[in-house]
Amino acid sequence: MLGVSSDSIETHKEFTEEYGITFPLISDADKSVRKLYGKGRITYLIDKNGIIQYIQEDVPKNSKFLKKIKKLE
Amino acid sequence: MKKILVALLAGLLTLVPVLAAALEVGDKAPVFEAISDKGPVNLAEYRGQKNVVLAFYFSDFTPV
Repeated sequence: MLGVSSDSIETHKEFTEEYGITFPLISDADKSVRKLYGKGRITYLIDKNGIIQYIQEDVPKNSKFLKKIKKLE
Repeated sequence: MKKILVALLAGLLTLVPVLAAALEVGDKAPVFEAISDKGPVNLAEYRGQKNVVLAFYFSDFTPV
């Protein structure tokens, strides 16, 4: 699990400490990762071979996403 | 006629970046190296190791 926003590392650290987030939050300040993956609130499921298996736009629907993840495992 | 061609060309040029950014299921996920609060992240290192959920969001401390 990787989160990406343009927040600074410092802001990410405050955020992960407050909410107990254990996965890395990427600081994409120059939006270079964003440029590769497109606009908006978007979540990708990438398999072990690096192939995109699922894309969800807007706020992720967790139950649907979890089903897709289980399919891969 | 020339005006139409110019308009068409301008239209195509604006579409190119949009098309380039649109990833689809079945596409190879573009690899990247970035910094995170837990240290450097290189997407290529997950290949052959782990499935990855890559979640883009707008800002920390916001509801969505």
